[in-house]
Amino acid sequence: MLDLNTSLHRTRTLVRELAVTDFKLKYQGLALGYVWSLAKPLMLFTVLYLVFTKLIRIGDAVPHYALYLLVGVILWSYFFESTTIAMSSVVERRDLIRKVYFPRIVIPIATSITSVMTLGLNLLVVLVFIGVTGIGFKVTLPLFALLLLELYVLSLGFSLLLAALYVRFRDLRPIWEVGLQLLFYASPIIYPLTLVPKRVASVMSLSPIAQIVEDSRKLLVTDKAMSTADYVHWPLALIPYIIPPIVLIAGYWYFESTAAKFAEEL
Amino acid sequence: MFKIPLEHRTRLRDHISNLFRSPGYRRLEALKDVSLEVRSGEFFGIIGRNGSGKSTLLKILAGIYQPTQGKVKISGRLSPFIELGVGFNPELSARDNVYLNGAILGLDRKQVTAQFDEIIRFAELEDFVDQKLKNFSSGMLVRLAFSVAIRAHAEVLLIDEVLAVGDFEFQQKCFNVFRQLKQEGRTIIFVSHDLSAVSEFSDRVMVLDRGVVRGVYGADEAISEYHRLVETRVDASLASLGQSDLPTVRAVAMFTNGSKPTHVVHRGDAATVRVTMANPRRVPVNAGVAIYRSDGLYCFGTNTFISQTPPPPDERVEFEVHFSEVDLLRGSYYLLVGIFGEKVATLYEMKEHAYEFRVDQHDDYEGAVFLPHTWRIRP
Repeated sequence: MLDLNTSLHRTRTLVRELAVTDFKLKYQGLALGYVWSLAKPLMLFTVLYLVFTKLIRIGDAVPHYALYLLVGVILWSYFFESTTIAMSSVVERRDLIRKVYFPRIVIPIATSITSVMTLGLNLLVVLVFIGVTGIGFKVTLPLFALLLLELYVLSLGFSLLLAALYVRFRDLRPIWEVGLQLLFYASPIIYPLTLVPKRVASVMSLSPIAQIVEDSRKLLVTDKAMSTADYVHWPLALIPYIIPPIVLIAGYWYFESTAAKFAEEL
Repeated sequence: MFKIPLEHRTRLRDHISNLFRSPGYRRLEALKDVSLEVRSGEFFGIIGRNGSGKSTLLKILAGIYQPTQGKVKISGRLSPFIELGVGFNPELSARDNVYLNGAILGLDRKQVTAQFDEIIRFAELEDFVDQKLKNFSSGMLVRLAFSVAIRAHAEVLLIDEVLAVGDFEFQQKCFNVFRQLKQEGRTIIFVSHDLSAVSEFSDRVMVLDRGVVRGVYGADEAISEYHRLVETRVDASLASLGQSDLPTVRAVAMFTNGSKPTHVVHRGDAATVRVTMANPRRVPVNAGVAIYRSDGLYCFGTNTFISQTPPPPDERVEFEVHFSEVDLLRGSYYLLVGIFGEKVATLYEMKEHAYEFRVDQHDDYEGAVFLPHTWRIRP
């Protein structure tokens, strides 16, 4: 129906407008706007920091624990938020879907971009932290962008899958929330992998979340952060890097194959 | 065709526990064997009762629904919306909403910016550009939405019930736009309940009834066919209720000249309204006929009580009211027919929208009614 050229351009325009308006809506009307939204991960960080340095002393095992924890919390918040928001995004936009024709995939892609914008703002805080604590920026810092890309791919994959599934299965939300909780504790966000028995750590290190978080710390915080290659033999160590693209392809495929029926099911 | 499950299964839990039981489907054939061909530059109308499948057809044409069988071929770009103001968010300003709506309709930022001032001017909202949409009246919203919508770059436009919203002046604005679009040679597929609008602009009109195409006709013929459908349905439903023995209106028709009922009256023409009434119990009755404009303006009403000419209390009676000059101005109108008792206090039946017609005229006078006049200018 529409020729490819206009279609791609139109899709880009639509994604951009949706993302921008969503972002505006998110922070509009709040007295300090973005600052309030930053409060969420920061509060989480503060509570965890206090508990795990003063009460349960995990923090002692890790140099620069504050920054270590902050990086983990912010990356996790992004994953959590972007997948959860994307999940209900299609259903929430039912008015658009039922009234206009456009590639449905625009909707979760737009929410993923809005989440990335939030992540960007949060990372600024991390940068400030790094500057303040005098850790200094390493030459390898640009590699961090690659890790972020990997995280984005993973989140988008899950987002597409969840968004499409949620249209048919509305009780997916509590299931996913519980799943996220489990994943949070099963990932080295609060604690370093070094505190976990070697066998278990080997399996955990295969998770892309674990790999991304620990690698990020290696780049940003300290060389002492462990990475997957420390636990598992090559080529198994490639597993966490392969999972995100697989999830993305699966999510994309599932979404596109069910998208045509959205208008009818909503 | 829609497959509607008998049980509504939206929860995973239900799916798993009922995994081996199919819920049974109720088949709703919204459209059956519908085939149509619209020529380039044509203004193609689609009319039918509620539930006849008009909106479904438009949604299939727009690509929102996929047809169970068959396919849609369109040459040229299609405007992908069928409702105004899609995506409007009350928490954002008019400016933001224009860009958002524009993007949804296929206009990029540059295109919207180029036309932004004109969009606002057409909608007469210059003072409200940066106000949040939630502060707008419904009339303002419709004006804004329409103003953006007509700028969608598309050779083929789908328009669904646009005229249902908005006041009379707005409808006139819409009509002007339609005229302009027609001149530009755009292809338009127009769905509406406003039969006179359909007849004024359409080259051909398709009549849909319960998912089936009754035919594609010229405008006036299509409207007669539509009325025929409506009347047969109304009669059928009355028959199924059993005969009511109170007086009822059986048929209403309007004639100008000639023996066939017409839905178009030229300003100043004479017109006769013929009412057929059933009165099984032969109670004394009076009848009234009122003319309303499509926006509800009460233009004129008369009844047999005022004129002291009650219809005879026969079981079936046909009577007429003859207007020697219908001096209403261009627009859509409808008749309301009422049947009262002897002293008008008792109301037996009130049939609103008993008959629809439009008035057209060769001159440019505007307003509700034409009053004969002459200008006297002193030098």
